[in-house]
Amino acid sequence: MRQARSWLPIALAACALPLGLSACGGSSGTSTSASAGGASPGLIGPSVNDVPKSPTRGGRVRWVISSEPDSYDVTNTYSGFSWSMAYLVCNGLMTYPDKGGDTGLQPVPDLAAGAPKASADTKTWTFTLKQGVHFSNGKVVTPADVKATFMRMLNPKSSGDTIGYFLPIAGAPAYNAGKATDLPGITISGQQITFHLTKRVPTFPLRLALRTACVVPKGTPPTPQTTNVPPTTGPYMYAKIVPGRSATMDRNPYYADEVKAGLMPDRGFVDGYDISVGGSDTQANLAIQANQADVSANRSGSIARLAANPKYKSRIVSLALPEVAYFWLNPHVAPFDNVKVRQAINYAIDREAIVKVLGGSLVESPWGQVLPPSFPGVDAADGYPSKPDLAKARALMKASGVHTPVTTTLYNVQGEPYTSMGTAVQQMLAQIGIKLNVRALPGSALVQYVSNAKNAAPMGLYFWQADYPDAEGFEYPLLCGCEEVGGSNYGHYSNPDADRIMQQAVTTPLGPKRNALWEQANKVLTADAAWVPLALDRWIDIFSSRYHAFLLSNAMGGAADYAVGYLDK
Amino acid sequence: MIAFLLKRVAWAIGVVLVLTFITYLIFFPGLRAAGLDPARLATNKTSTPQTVANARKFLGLDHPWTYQYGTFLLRLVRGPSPLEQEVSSGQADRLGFSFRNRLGVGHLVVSRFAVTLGLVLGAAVLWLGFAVFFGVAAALRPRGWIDRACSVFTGALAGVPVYLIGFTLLYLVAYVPTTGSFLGLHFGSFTLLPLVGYSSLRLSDPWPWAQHLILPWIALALAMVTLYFRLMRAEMLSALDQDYVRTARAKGLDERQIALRHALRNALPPVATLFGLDFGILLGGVVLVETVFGIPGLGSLALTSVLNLDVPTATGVIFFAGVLVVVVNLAVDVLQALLDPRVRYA
Repeated sequence: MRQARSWLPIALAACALPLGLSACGGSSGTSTSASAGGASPGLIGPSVNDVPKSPTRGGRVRWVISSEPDSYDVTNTYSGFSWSMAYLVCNGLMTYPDKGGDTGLQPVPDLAAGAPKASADTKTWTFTLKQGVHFSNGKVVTPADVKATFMRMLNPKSSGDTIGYFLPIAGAPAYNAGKATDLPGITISGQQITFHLTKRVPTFPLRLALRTACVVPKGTPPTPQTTNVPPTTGPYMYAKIVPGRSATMDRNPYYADEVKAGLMPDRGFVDGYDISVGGSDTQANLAIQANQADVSANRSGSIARLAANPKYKSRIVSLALPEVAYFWLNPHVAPFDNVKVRQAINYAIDREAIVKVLGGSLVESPWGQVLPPSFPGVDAADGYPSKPDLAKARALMKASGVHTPVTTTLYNVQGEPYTSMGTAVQQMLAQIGIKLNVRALPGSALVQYVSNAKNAAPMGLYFWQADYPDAEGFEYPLLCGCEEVGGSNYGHYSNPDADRIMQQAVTTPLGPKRNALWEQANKVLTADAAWVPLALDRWIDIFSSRYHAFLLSNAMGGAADYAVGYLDK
Repeated sequence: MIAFLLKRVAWAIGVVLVLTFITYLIFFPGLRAAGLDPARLATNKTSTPQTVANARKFLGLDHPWTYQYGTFLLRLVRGPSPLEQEVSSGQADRLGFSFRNRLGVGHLVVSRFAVTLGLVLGAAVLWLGFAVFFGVAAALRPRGWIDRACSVFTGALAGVPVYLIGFTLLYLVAYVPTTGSFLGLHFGSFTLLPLVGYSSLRLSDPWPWAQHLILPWIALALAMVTLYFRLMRAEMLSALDQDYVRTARAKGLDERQIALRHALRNALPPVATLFGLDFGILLGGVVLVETVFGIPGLGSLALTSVLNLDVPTATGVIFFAGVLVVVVNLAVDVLQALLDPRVRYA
């Protein structure tokens, strides 16, 4: 999911199926990803990706967003941007620390009193809940609320997009299908909550750190709430929501005392957030420049112009996300059933030109592999080149035996800059004898159309962002021919060698061995040209002169941790 | 008069039915013909088959399309059925239920309509005021300095798209004052009008509402004023050339009295007719102005729902906007018939 491309959370949600993992995997190391082929980030305040040592407290942040988050109800959020907002208002059993770099990718207890106890087979996970934490309505959080949170998420009337991650809880599939009224896989004993899983899930703590697993009170209606969102436990709470217009966050009145008592970390230095929804990105940028707004995340053309202005450069942050833009190829449809054709395309594509079309180096970085550089072991030097190698591409086309010109269709996203990108790609592939027809659809319609195998779409544009820092949610759901994987493998690609490696990886405990397996699969998939990776997306924020400190959590699908921000007095 | 009214009302109902049918065809069978599923598009979040099944049940997609269209019409007349209420947790209304927003479409549409109404009414006051005042002044002194100045001004505006007007106003009026400099001139920076946001109207303190709408009012008025000025001027010139005006002059009436009491009354009806038609269309959503200024009106709702293929919301907005146009047209027709008996028998 990503924050600026409003169709993407829709698309990713559409592809999620209950029978398997469906969303995106994980990443590590904002420091390495920040430098991967892109503009250097601006710096604000003490530093980017660090918690300020002595922030001033107080003031209200004026936040401008061009379109509404997919939901204010934390259980139903599914985009980097809505998780950025959820990060301010809620807590789950686990979370990620307010740290940049690799330290920020290791989950830590949040509402849990300590690290979980896991069985050797990672099928049983036991947590002890902290005592004395309050929801913003004053109710104390209990283990019953934790269980109710997952029952709400898995309720048939719910429409949460991370349900697939929690279906391994015993009884969850039946409960989610409306065939059961309880969730026997979650048991409570005093302050202890135990999750009984039906299969090995070494990444369970990472999944519990998702914002959709934020704890809400027992009794919250299962259907997604629009304005009367459930109370949560974070440093802030939603005071008022006017759909399509505005939202207000005020301080959670109980959080400060919990910080003093050592129960919760000291986060959230401002008094609240006044969020204005709607308007163009240009309007938002003008408001920031005029200091009528403090924060805006957008990718408008004016951002690049502002970044070139010394007055504003230091107020713009551009950080690489664990998100890859790519063309998937359907190996069941000619000419992509020929690996040499797929490889030829990878050498014919000018990734630097595509980055320019998509907005420039502030917005994108060229990339030529399946896994983004934030994953352990990924070497940026591997993969397909940023600049085209037409001689090699033509030689591969000749060796493929495919008679040229050959015609095929690219399913593209409607609107700019993708229309221009489609035109550019047509010209690039024409040089190697591939005549490309481009069919554009709105984002949600595109996903739905290409997911239907009967449509036999040969090639399409997509973007994938890691939900948590493990490749189990990246290459596995996208490229494994495994039965249990969900519907995000639009090309219906399968490689027996890569499948075997990935299926071994998912059951391997977290650590170097698991990471090495994912990287091995990455190399196999990249060499087999399962995709045409194009670019890494970047998170861009512009801030007013009075706002300081910013942290991007690549752990959480590229969500921003605005809680580290503070304002001048 | 009764016969005229009945005829016009029957015509309006027929137009509304055709509108609902075409809208339905585009968004339901049309999408299916394109290989898309309206239920999956409507829900957006399809992580459970149950959610899609609920949407399918609500939209009647398991039945023939004739049943679906009938249900659509029936809901417009009598409200949501018990099944629809259950699926939508009681939020559905006559215009349906938006699974994306988890709100009744009617509720969404009405709240956004109120915003657009404020925008259109305010702009209308400006453009009508300018057009009538300066149109009359220009007609009274053809080729005088008012006539020439207004003609040049409105002529220049005629070729400028409204979004360019909007962004220019935003930049020059709202942004430049905050910088304290413009084209080499330096001055103390100040805030004249806000660049972002919208406030609902509170009668006890209307200024926050008004300050967010001043620039959109001006932008929309500038986009509309050219045609109205020219029409008012032409109608006034035509009226001033009539026999009854010559008679009034011969009787010794003051020119001002002739213009305001006699000629203007005859020159206004065509302008009023045009205004009625434009008003209905604009109420359906002033998309470009709302997008430029971030006004959460019906136009921006229409745009986002169509771009996202949020089928229930899109059909609800299109239907509502269409009905507005038909109703306003009907009102204009009736008003004209009341004012001018010749129209009733035409």
